[in-house]
Order: sequence, then structure tokens, then C-alpha cells
Amino acid sequence: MRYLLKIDSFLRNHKRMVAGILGALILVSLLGLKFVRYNNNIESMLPMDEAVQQAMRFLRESNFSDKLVISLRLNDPAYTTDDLILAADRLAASISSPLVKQVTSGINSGNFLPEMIFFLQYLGQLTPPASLEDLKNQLTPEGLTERLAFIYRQSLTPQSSFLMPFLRADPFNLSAPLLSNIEKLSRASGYDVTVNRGHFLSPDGRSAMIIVKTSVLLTEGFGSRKIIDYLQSKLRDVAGYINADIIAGHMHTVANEDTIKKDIRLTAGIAALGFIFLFLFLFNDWRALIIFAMPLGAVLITTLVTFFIFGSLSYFVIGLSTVIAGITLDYGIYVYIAVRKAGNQLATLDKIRQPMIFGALTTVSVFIVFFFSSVAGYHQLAFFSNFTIMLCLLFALFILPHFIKQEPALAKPTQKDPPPIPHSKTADYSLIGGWLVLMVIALILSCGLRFNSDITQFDAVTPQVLKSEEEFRKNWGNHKLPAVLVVQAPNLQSAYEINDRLSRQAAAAIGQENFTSLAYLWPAEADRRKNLAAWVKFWQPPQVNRLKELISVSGPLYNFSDDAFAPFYRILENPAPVEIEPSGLAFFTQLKEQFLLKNGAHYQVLSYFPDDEQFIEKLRLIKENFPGSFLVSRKSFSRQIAQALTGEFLFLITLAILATAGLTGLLLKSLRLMALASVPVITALALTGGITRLAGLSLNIPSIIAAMVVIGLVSDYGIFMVYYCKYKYETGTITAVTLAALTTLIGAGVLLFARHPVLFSVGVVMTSGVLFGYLSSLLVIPVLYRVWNNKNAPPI
Amino acid sequence: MNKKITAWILLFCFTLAHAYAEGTPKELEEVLTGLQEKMSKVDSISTAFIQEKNLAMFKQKVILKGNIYIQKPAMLAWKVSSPLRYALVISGTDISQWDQDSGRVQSLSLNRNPSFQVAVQQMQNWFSGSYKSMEADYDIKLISQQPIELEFIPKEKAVSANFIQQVNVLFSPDEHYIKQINILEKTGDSTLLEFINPELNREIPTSAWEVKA
Repeated sequence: MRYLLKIDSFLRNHKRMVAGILGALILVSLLGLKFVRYNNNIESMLPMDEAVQQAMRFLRESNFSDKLVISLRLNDPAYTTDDLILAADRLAASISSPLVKQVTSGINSGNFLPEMIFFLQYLGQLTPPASLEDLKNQLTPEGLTERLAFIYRQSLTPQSSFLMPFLRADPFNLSAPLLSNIEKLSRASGYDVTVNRGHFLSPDGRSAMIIVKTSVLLTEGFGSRKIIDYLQSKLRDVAGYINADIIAGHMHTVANEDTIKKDIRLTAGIAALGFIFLFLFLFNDWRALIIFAMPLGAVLITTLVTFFIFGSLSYFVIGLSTVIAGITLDYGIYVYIAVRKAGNQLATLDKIRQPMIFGALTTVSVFIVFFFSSVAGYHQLAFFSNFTIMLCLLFALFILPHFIKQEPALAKPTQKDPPPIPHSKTADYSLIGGWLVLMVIALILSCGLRFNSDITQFDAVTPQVLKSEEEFRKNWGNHKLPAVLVVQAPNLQSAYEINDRLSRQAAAAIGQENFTSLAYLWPAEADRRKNLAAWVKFWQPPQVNRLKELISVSGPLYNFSDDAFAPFYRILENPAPVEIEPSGLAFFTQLKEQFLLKNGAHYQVLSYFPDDEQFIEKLRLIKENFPGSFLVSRKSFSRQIAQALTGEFLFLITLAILATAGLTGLLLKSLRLMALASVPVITALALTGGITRLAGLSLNIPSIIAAMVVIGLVSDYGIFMVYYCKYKYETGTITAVTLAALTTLIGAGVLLFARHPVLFSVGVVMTSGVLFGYLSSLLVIPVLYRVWNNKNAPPI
Repeated sequence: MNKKITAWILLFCFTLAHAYAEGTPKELEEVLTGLQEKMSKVDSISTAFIQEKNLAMFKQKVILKGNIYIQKPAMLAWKVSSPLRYALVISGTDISQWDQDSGRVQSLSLNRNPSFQVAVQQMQNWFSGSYKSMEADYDIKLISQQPIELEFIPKEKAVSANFIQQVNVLFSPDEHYIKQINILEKTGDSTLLEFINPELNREIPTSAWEVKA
């Protein structure tokens, strides 16, 4: 108390100096905003769970997150595929930026045929022994004659120029499964792409695709904007008969950032209007401006401090700053109302200091709980909120009183508590009964609430991006992103080995047609050695001589020359040696890019399968037998996040409730009063749950965070009302609580205008929570207090 | 010394004459534009053909006889009557083929068969007359003006570079249709395709589009 007196006296005597210092600090913070770096990186909003982080690390390090697709579509029937190819080439050639690592508009198809024929050297190690058994049936006079007749017929077709080199090197079509696997592997991405004149074209030849590899990861907000802006500037030069769209995760990052920025501007604007309206019509006192200036100044200072501590500021946190401003306005209002009503002596402040500090501490304790979360982004939210709350509390308790005077003559009815509501036992019991019924209904409704773990629900993508993606799906096949099963090993040989074993089990579990693996084209070295041994054993000189003899008999029937199949004999004589990978084949290198990654000291082999629950479940069991392997799927990712956060949030909510209850108990020192103070919390949570269900919404992580903040906020109302019921201080408690709730409702209610789903979710929960918490604290607590605590108490 | 100078002069004259015979870029542009203009007026072609194939796979030349029907923009029928009856009909992206030996009709999609895609693309290229757009895939030379003969050498990245070394196309004197196509493949195989009695812009009988007819 002695210290408080000293501080109070110092501030009273030096209020101009203190105001000057504070003003300068706020001004510096305002100017400092220019240097603050913001981030929109969703990774900071993910839990530190091993599976989630592993999936995120994989997406970041793999070549998925650094690619953008430009889709070009002819929009005028007068133009042809040739015009499209020309435009694609021009556009691809014009793209050159430090942000762009590579631009691909197709593949060099000029060497495809020679490469494929060269690849047939590996026929020995890639042909399973079972196929050689089938071959025996063809190595008969009848079988061979039939085969030669087929080859002859092929020579009559227009595509014979393309086929003949193949048929000479592989007359028994042993490479058919390999070619089919190559085709399947090239479609692993899910796009229906054809290669026409070396360009990626849609099956109808009216769309072309350019793939841009960038150094910008899609999780980088600012980099994404730079690369998108750059590419869009290039698309503006594309001919008018072509529609050009960018399809990339980067577009979502930019759209989300734009949405959240617009939301911040809109909500801050509406909130400012709301606060001005309050000021003009309820306070009508220029000094009340200080109440509104305090949270603004505190938010500005906190922004700079948070930036210095965390290195950057999350847009998510800034988006919630109006809510935090709404919360912190309360302290100024409590002090303002009390001082206007009872003067700015220490005695007046003593009456409100305790409930104010405890009220603030309950809110702070809820935010402190977020420091126990494994989500790094929540730590920043906790720091930002608590620093702002503490600053505002200090401003309100120590600085604000010296700038306000008691002016009873000017006191408005709003500054007085409303006249007592006439009550009777019947009315009291009816109100309690009504409240109980409402609670039961709300709780029943809340039981049916569903938790939505899909992270895409928070994707605030623009209609334009959605339209482009829909168009893209239409032109390039109904593309659904596949899930990925990743195996990793310290060296390439083991990586192939493990992938081979896993692929076999996966194919048995979900069917080979559903599992696209490099193992089907290029098995592990040990398997290839076995195959080659069987091949060499099969094609012993007597067998080769027999084949030559049969051809010399049946060949002349169809005019075949003596060396018709010389390339095949060369393969038999000199099969390629067993290597880890085939060398010098551009098609294999290009194909491998999708299936093999080198991350630091590890090699990762990727296999793809449809992102369906049934497959994920089966493969999840299989991967358990392969240490280091993991699954990456959108569905699985959402569930992993949900699993990681559900347990964590149960723990955090329990902590928040215990902290709030503990602080309330410490202040009220009575279980009964504690129970009364908890009425707004219970009412707010139950009715918010009921309303969320009625509105057809589901629970999600942001709404749970908002619910936790609601606990901290409405418990303040409970504390104030119970304190008021107990001590009957004439400090305008009801008016103050009403105004506090109103300002918080403005801060939270504006989020209902937000387009971003995260902010909207927070808005729904906070608006309904604060509204019902406030109503119950005002209507239910006094009645319950009368009925339960002090039946002879005067009307409140 | 004099001999050396004479040799250089002769070499220079020879190079000049050769370059002149090949046609300057301007002449080539004019020729291609003229051909494109004339052939763009042709919507349908039906013609008999003789194809001579010199393939290392076979002891003797393979000589095919048959008919080709083309209806712009996307219909093509290739019908072989000798030495074995074979038919291929392409309508849009649908392919049907039949042969006398197997007696079976096989249906395929053009998009899923790169070998057909390349072959059909080649034929459409030659008959469409849009040679200017082919400059993206081929180096084109004007070999002679009367009658017009063009030489096409695939560029390194073109799909046709997989198997084609060079294609020579000889046009009819009125430049409305192709008289002969000579394809030299990278393997050393060659194909000479000659068109006989072509009919332009005449209605093609519906039976031409029946694969088993």
C-alpha cells in the first residue's frame, strides 16, 4: 500500500512528463511499424507432433512445394494446337528471374525412342522368371510363325517406322510390362497429360502446361507474392486467344494473406466506428478518448516488442488484435466509471483494484496456458495478448485516474447503475428455472457438436483461384492429389531395397493398380541379379541357336531377312551389367524426379496411392514394419493434426479452467461465491456450443482457442458481479460490466464480417460467448446470489 | 598456286550454285505461304497409293497398295489392299484397325498410343499444308521450284527426330496436292509413298470410314 501511495503521488505530480514519455513511446512504436516483418507461414500454427512435423518437413524439402503450374488454354476455335505450342514456347522463354530455378514446357522427346531401345539392354534383369516360362510357348514352330505374322502385319501400318526398331530389339514384346509401368509412373501426379511435339498438352490438344520450379516455398508468404506477381506480369503478355492461369499452392498463400489483410482493415474500421459511436453517445466526454487510446497505444508498443522478441509477427495474431483491444478496453472503462462516480482518490481505486487485477489475471492465465502448447504460433499469441493486457491494466490503474475527474453534475444515467429490477421469489425461481432449461437444451445440443480437423476449411481462397482450379481440373482430368508413402535409407541401394519389399506388401494389400511405385519399373539390385541369372540360364547358346533356326525356317514365309532380329541377339549376347541405376537415360532421370529424393544424408523413395481412408489404414499398418517410413496425405495430415491437438487442447482447457477457478477462489475465498462467479463461464460455453451446432458449424482449433479466451473474459464479469453483490460498492459496476461487454462484443463482433474462416470462427465463438456470459452475469448471478447466498439481501 | 586458286573459285561457285538451287529463305517463305494457301482450300482428299518400303528387317522391298481418305479436320482412313488387307480409321481421337489375318477389329484411343499419335501427326502435317507451322519441328529447304520439292529435317527436340532422318515431299505441278513422299529413317530404312489419281474436295463415300469394308 505504501508503494502504491508513492507511485500514485509520483504520477499525480509528474503526469505531464509521464504522458509525454508514453506518447513518445507510442509514436516510436507507430514509426517502427514500418520495419516490422510479418509472416503468413502456416508451419508456425502446426503442433510439434513428430508425425505432423515429419509430413511438413517432407513437403518443404520435397519438390512438391516449389512448383507452380501455368495452364494455357485456347479460347478461340480459330486457333490450333500449333498456335498454343508457339505461345507456350514464347511464354516459357520469357520467364527469367532469380526466383525461378527452372521452366519446363515439355520434354526433349527427340531421344525418347533411342533411349527406350537402349533401355531394352536391361531386359534381362527386368524380366521376371515367370515371363520366361510364358516365353517357352512362343519358342515353337507354330508359336514363332504366329509371332512373325504379327510383326509382318505391323509393318503394314502407318506407325511401322516407330514400331520396327522396337520389334527388332524385342520381337517377343517382353518389354510390354515395362512400357506400361513407365506410362503408369509418368501419370503418378494424377494429371492427364499427353506429350505432343515435346510439349505437355491436354488430351484434346487445347491446353498446354508449363511447370515453373521456384526457390520460393509455398509456405513463404512474401516470396509467394513476389513469384506470383512476377508470373502474372508475364501472363499479361500472352496472346488474347489464350487464357492463362497459375495453379499453385502459392496462389492460396497469397489469397489467404490478401483476405486476412482485407479482414484486418475491415474489422479495424468497423471496430473504430463502433468505439467512436460509443464515445459520442455514451460517454460524451473528451477524456473518455483516453480509454480508447490506451489499447491502441498498448497494441502498438506490443507489436514492436513482439517483433523484437519473435523476429516476425504472425498475421493470425495481428488479425486478433481487435479482439485483444476490445478486451483491454474493459480496464479503462472500469476505472473511468468508478472515478467519474466516486472520484480519483486511492480509496475509490482500492474498491476496484482487486477485482480488476484478478479479472485481468484470469484472462492472462488463460493466455499463459498457450505457452504450454506445442504450437509455436500460440506462444506469440500468448505473449502479444498478455503484454497488451498488462500494459493496459497498468495504464488504467496508474495513469488514467490522474486524467479523469469526478464530475457528478455531468454524470449521465449511463454512469449510474440501472435502477433495481423489482423481484419476487416467483420471478427469481422462474428466472433460475428458465436458465436451467436453457442450459439443459444447450448442453444437449452441444453434445452433437462435431470436430472438424480438415485444415483446408481455413483456406480463404478467392473465387477467382477456385474458378481457375476448377477449369484446370476440367482440362487436365479430374485430378485428385494422391497420397505418398515414403521410405528412407542412408544409401540409394538400401532405399531401393526397402522400397521393393514395402511395395510388394503394399500391392498385396491394396492392389498393384492402386499403388504406383518405382519398384515396378526398377526393382532392387538383389531382385535384378536373380532375374538376370534366370535370363542368362534361359538364353544359353543352345536356346539362342534354336531360336535362330526356327526364324530361318518361318522367316522366309514373311520375307524376313537373316539379320531381322540382330538387335535382339546383341541384347542376348551382351546384357547390361547390374547397376544401382541405369545410366545416361534422360527419361529415367526425369521419371525418377517424382519418386526419389535426396534429403541431407538420406535417400527417400516415394510411392503414390489414392488418398482414400481404406488405403491409408492398410498402408499405415504396413509402414510400421519399415522404420523411418511415413505417410503423407491430406486426409491423414488433418487427422494427425487433430490427434496431436485434441489431447493437447484438453490439457490446455483443463489448465485454463483450473487457473481461472484458482484465481477466482483466491479473490472470493468461498466455494459458493466461486460457483456463482463461474455461472457466466458455464453459460457462455454451453450456449456457444448449442448455437454453433444450430448454425450448422463444427468445432475446430480456432473456435476452441476462442472458447478459452471467452473463459478468461466472462469470468471477469462473474468476479465483478459477485464482488458487487457481496460488497455493494457504489463504483458503477453494472454500468462498467455492460460497457466492458459492449466493447469486447464490438471487438469480437466485427470478426463476423471477416472472410477468413479462422477469424470468422473466432468471431462466432467470442461474440456468442461474451454475449451470453454478460447476460448471465447480469441476470443470473444476482438472482442466484439472493436465493442461494443471502436470501435477505436487498434487490440488485 | 594457280591450281589452288582455281580450286577455291570452283568451290565458291559450287557453293553459290548449291545455295541458289536450295532457294533463299525469302523464296522458301513465299513457297510455303503459297502452298498453305492452296492446300487450305482442300477439305477432303481420296487417293490411291503405292508404298515401297526398304526395311532392314525384310529381304525384299515391301510394296503396299491401297487408298487413303482424308476429311479435314480430323478424319483419316488408311486402307491397304495388297499384299494383305488392312484398314485403319481415325475419327478425332478414336482409332479402329482391322486386318485380314486376325479378322479382329481393335479400338484404341489416339491419346494413349504415342506411336499412332506420331504417325497420324505426320500424315496430318503433310496433308494439311500448314508447313509454316512445321518450321518449329523441322528445318525446311526448298529443293526445287518446278515442280516444288521440299526437304524436311527434324530438329533435335522434335518427336519425329526419334526415327526420321529426312523427308522429301514432291508436289503436283498445280501445287494442290502431294505427289510423293520419301522418308529416310535413322535406321537406314526408307519409305517411298506415291499418290495416284487424287481427288480433291469430292464427297468421300461413308463406306470409306468403315474399318471392315
